[in-house]
Amino acid sequence: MLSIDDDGFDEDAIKARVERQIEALGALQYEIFVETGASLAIDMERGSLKNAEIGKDSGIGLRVANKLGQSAFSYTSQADAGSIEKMVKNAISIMQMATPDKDFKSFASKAEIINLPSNVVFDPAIERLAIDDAVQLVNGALESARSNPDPRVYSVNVSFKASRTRLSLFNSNGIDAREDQSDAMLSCDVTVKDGEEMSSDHEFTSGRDLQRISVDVGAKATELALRTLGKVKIKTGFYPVVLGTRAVDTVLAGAIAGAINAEFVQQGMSFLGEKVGKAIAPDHFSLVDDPRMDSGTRALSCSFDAEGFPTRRKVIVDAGVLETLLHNTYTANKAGVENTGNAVRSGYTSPPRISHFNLVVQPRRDHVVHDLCEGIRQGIYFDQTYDSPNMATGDFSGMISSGYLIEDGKITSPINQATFGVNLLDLFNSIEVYGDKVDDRAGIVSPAIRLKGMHVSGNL
Amino acid sequence: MTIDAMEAAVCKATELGAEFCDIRVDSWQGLSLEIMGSRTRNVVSSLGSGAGVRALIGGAWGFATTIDTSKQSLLRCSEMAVQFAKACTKFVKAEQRFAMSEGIKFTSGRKEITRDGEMDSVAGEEKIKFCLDLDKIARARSPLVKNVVIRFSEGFGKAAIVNSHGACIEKSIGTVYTLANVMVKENDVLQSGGEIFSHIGCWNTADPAAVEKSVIAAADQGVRLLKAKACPPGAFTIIADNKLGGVFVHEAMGHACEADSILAGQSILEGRAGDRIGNEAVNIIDDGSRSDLYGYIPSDSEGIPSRKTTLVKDGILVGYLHDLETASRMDCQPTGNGRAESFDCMPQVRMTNTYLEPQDWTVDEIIGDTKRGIYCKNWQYGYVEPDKGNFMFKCKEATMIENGVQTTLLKDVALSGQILQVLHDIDAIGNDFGSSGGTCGKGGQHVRVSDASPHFRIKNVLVGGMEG
Repeated sequence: MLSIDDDGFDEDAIKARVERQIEALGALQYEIFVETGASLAIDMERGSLKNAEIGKDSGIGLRVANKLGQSAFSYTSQADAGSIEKMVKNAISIMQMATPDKDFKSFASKAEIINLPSNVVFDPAIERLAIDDAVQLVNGALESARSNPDPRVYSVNVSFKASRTRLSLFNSNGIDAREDQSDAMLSCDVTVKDGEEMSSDHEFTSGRDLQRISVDVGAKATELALRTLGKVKIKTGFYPVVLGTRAVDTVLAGAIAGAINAEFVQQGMSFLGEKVGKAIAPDHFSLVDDPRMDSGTRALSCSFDAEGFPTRRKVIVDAGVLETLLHNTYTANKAGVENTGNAVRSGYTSPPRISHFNLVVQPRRDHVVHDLCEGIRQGIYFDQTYDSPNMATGDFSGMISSGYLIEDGKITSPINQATFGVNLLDLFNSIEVYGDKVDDRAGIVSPAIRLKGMHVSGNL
Repeated sequence: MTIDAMEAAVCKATELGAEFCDIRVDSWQGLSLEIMGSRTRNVVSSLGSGAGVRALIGGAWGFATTIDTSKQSLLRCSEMAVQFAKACTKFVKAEQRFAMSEGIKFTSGRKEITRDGEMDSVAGEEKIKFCLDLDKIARARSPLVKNVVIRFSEGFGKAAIVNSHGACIEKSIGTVYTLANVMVKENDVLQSGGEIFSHIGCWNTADPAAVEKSVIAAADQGVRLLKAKACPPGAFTIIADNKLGGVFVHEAMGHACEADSILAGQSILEGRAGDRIGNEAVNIIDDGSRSDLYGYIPSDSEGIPSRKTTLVKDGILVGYLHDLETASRMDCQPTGNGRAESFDCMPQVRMTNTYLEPQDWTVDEIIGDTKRGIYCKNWQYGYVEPDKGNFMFKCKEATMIENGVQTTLLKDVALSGQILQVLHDIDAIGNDFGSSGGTCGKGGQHVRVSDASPHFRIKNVLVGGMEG
């Protein structure tokens, strides 16, 4: 059903066509990104199937640059000769209006790409997936969610999405990189009600292959949602905090990875800009960016980055010391350092930007404990927030969307409404110990982490 | 030619068993760029088109999308959409089956808000030069300005909608959106100020002076914030300005009134129509037909004309926002709020221009009447969890109010509240009115909206501050 062979783009023909156009118009450097994709999605509302979607989306993104370092990006969703000609003309015409940039040296240089084994990033079972298979998964998750007879379960909503993509990247330095990728995600939202109190939680399961997808996600979502009932108000104060893996992603690992984007740093827009080579966390904390991950969800694994440069595993924070920024070709050339291969794209419609791949928190063994709550008389289990930090200052305030009280070493009641405020450097330095259960949540692999504490506002 | 092909595809779906079918064909062009470090970055020219066919059978939708808008491809999409709808139909519960309501009035004909070619009537070069000048304007405001980011984005989109109930619409609209983010530094203190400009129409109809004004406001705000103190945590009386107030209305009430979340059992406002949910001075409206606001749509993505919908009247919840499906299932008229980001997305119930109606307080009276509180201005972002009843937003700038006078300047103020309580806690609504345009995300889709309000005051809002 998700095969792209019949109506997908012919990458070689597109490459030849774009190159011919560019030669005729005289641009010096170029980079062609071709994406052919198909996706299938199903939504279930309150136990009833609501819609099923199938989509085929393909397109071409083109970057051009000249000797002066003027550069521009153009895209089209059509591969016919007229559309390609227009795309190339548009790119070159706006390139000539761009500012010259002496820091632009070149698009990515050709380096040997060692493709990950195809089963790491692509599962043929996703390509063969039929609509009835997908319906079965959604029904399975519903049954799993409903297996808990608790009458407080009010509504169950399930979604499934699978996609397969073929990426190709060519540039004027001779790069010719190609990879087939697939993704699948099954998610379940459960709303619970107890008298006037209403609450909810959700869980998902995802990965590059269908085997990772488990219908048990339903039961987990129900369990999580029921746990949020019986909320209590808390007093404003400074509390010891345990960060669950969902919160580790937003307030710790993801925040570090976001702030070491070399582009932001070079523009003076990151609070970690001058911290490379310095300690930003205790010596028992290490963080790895691993695009070559070949086990687990492997959600962000890929063989080459969005400029066609080989990806590599890198230690971002080594025993508390910030080791590197995340670079693409431009920022690495500008800084005179090695390209880390961290260019990513949201698809053919946008030029590459810098981001991280799979983040792995690696605690030193002597700081791993079985029970993170042990010894906490009164604290907060910080499960989730949807807020984001001020990357320029490192100040981070927001709402604890999901959190629990810790009392006398045990997680007790969910908390009603609470906000937090912390400076991220203070937060990194307040890491104390790590749990012994590692959670792989598609893009972030980490145990829960105990912090000395943070300011939390409540309304008691 | 396209309309003929669309009509053929709709007929095909109906022949194959669709009870209702609609098809949208979108095409767009765009120019976007960023100025960073006084240089252009990511100058992007975009061009695209695509189509989506939706078929309804026994209460389930099948939806098929393609970038190939040829007749043959649309016909194939019709077949796929019907096949997918049929695959779901047997798993639709009896109580969730529905048929499209009869007698719904669709928009018809052409709505040309922006004409073909308007976007190209001003050369790209001129737009880039204008943005580079904005960078200079910001830097000239203060020697403390260290970097300026200007984002400029202009788009022109055309859409055609045809359905099996006789709708046949072609529309075109242009938009301009700019964002200025000015970084300032003094000693070791780093701060930033930000401001947005939004406009319906292409750049040829926009007011460059208004964009320049927004950039100056961003720079001045950054410089002011260098002296700002961290906010104390706790519950406070707050006064919201027009921009923050608008976002407040959007997050605190608008989302929970979207009928798709009501039907999914995911809104705290389910079953509360007719209930008092706020102070009697509170009136909240959504109006997609207001062509002076950034959320303006001549019709929604299902071909329903945009209109004014009252959500809260005199503090009573009186209505929800609907698309075709929710209106059919809840036996009422659609409100023109079925919006899709693009051809490859199913329409969802979305807000357009959402606002709180003004009352009679002057801004000075509200401030002067506040013994202790926080005056919160402009927004960074906001979000809501309608199924938990919580919402949260961050303001750009705030000042402490003590005995009716503005005192200390505050930074990074995060506000959080509860939907069912907060409208009761509004105790003063101003006589002014102001709006801001932006983008609202839901279910992975982003659409342009505007939020507006007078100044107003709310008691007992939880503030997340950094100071102990």
